[in-house]
Amino acid sequence: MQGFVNLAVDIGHVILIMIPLICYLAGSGFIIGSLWSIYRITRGHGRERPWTPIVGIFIGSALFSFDQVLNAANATLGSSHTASMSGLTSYTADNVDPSNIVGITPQETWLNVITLFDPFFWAYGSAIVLWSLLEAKGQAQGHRRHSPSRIIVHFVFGVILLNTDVIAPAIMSHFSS
Amino acid sequence: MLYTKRREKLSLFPSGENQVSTTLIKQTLKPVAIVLSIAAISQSALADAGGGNTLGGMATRVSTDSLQWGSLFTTIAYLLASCLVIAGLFAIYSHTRNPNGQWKTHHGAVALLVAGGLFAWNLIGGFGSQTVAGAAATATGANSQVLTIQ
Repeated sequence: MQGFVNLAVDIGHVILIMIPLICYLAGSGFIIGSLWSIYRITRGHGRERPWTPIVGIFIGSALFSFDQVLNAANATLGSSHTASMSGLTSYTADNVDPSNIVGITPQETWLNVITLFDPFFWAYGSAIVLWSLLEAKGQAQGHRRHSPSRIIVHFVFGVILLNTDVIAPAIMSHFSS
Repeated sequence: MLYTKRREKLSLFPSGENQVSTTLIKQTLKPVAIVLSIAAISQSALADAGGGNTLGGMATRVSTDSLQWGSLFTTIAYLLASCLVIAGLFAIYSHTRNPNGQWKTHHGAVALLVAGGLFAWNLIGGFGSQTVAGAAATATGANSQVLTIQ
């Protein structure tokens, strides 16, 4: 169990390191690409819709402030989690304290397990939210066949996954009362 | 049957060479898998240098040692912008020489405007971040950043 938790937290840490990099690469690419698209549309090249560059700049800007987007989404959900992007200096792997896992009730044990996996849920939820923004850009360009509802579902459920430790107690209290 | 046909169509090799290509891939992948497994099991020096033999430690090391991505994008934007400045000036010049030709004045004007935007693309991103999130951009392209959630 301890190894499994450590692995999950490690994978979560990798995702959390990759997200700022992807945000910067995609955001920069979107803004530069959008400016280039404006020129192409003026010359009548390509089949892009006139508003595509505007969407590209908007989503690129959102990616540059991805932590603020997550904070806004968390606040909307009523969560107290806060996201921030900062410099990375070192990494120390988490160690599980087995004495804290088993609770008095099954519900408490389950919540303790969820808490152990929190770093993974945070990372994976953030990655899904990021993916939904990238999907929105792809759909605006006409590169994707799915409808906008898929983007909304990905965004909403990404935020919910990010806040598993907030959602789980609420669901449990609903069933236990 | 349809699947087989589609697979053949997607293959890099003609259908007669599918067997050869599969064997080649297997022969290539097997040593790679063995080497990677041995490296992972033996706790290589690279992994240890990254802050322990963990995925997070290795990712930290890779992140801190990676290049400054901002410089790369700035270079690309500057090259594109320089091309657009030349194209824009050429369009205006061509229009004055031949007003009925394919180059119009607004082609040159838009090219120069977009070139200006590309020269200042990071400012556009910063202003966009202020507009969308009400705060300065936090993904700065530095070689070591991490998203922290508390």
